[in-house]
Amino acid sequence: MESLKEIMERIDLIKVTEQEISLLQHISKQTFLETFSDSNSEENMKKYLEEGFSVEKLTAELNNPDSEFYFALFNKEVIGYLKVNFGISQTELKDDKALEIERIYVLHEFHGKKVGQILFEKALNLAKDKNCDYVWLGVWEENQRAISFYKKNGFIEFDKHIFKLGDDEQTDIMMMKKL
Amino acid sequence: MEIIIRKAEEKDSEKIWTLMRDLAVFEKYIDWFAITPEIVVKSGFQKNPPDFYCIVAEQNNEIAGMLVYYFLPYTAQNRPAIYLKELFVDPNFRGNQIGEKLMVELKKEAVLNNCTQIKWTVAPWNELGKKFYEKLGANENKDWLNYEWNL
Repeated sequence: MESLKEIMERIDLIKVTEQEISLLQHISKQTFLETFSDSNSEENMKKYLEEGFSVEKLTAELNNPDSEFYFALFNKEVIGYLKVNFGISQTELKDDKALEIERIYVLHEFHGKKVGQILFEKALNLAKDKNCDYVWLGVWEENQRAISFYKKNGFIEFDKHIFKLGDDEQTDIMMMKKL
Repeated sequence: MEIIIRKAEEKDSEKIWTLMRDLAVFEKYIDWFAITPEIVVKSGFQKNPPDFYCIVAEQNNEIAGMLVYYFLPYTAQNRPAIYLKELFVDPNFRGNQIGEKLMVELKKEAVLNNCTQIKWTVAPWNELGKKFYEKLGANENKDWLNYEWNL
């Protein structure tokens, strides 16, 4: 594989449209599996993958004017993606002056190559363009890799929320960063 | 029963005062409690900057709880801090995590104002209060004693 610098320089970001729905579904499922399959039952994972990333659901999310998706591309391949929500599309808070980073996922193979950082900076720029006061997100409490990434980038924990994965109750840490 | 957390407005003054009074009874300083609803209006909503800031919780169009705070503009870290003056939930609305929601909103406010800390005191006999704050992740400060000079 090429050096870190070469890879970083060659990563492109593009806004996802409905035409790329199958690519979006593929990267969504693959990154979700890579991130969570070790720590969750197969049955719960299967259920979530089918329901959470169906074409209908992703199409509705893509067509929502208050949500945006971006792909990170390397050699024309999708290696990661970002989903942000504004206004009432935010899963919680729904503050007009805030942007939610709902998802940043990068293929395992490309971890450590700053792809997440590039997607994260895109989210910050989107928030600044919309004059948001802060960005926020929820992250699974067991996802230490993500938590330390956001802490390193100046996020502060402000709340905890329970969500359900299949029939398992899980805790999300809510974090925010002032712009 | 959706709970709305928002910044207090002048129209909330009467109910905020009621909750302040109830807190004074609960914390046993009602004999020295000199606040009136008019003072709440003036100090909190007509002065600029106000003498205190207030966040309220609303349920069924009623004020269910309130949180009062001020800023401490200067600390050793050269960043502001927040002093939490009062937190009180109407007993009729308890058990809905209103206190937690108010505290979370305060924490957001603190982050947005670049604060380094939120501090407050708890009555030594208020065991439920202590548990509540510890569950949020706050700790008792065992390094410093509270002093005061009454005039």
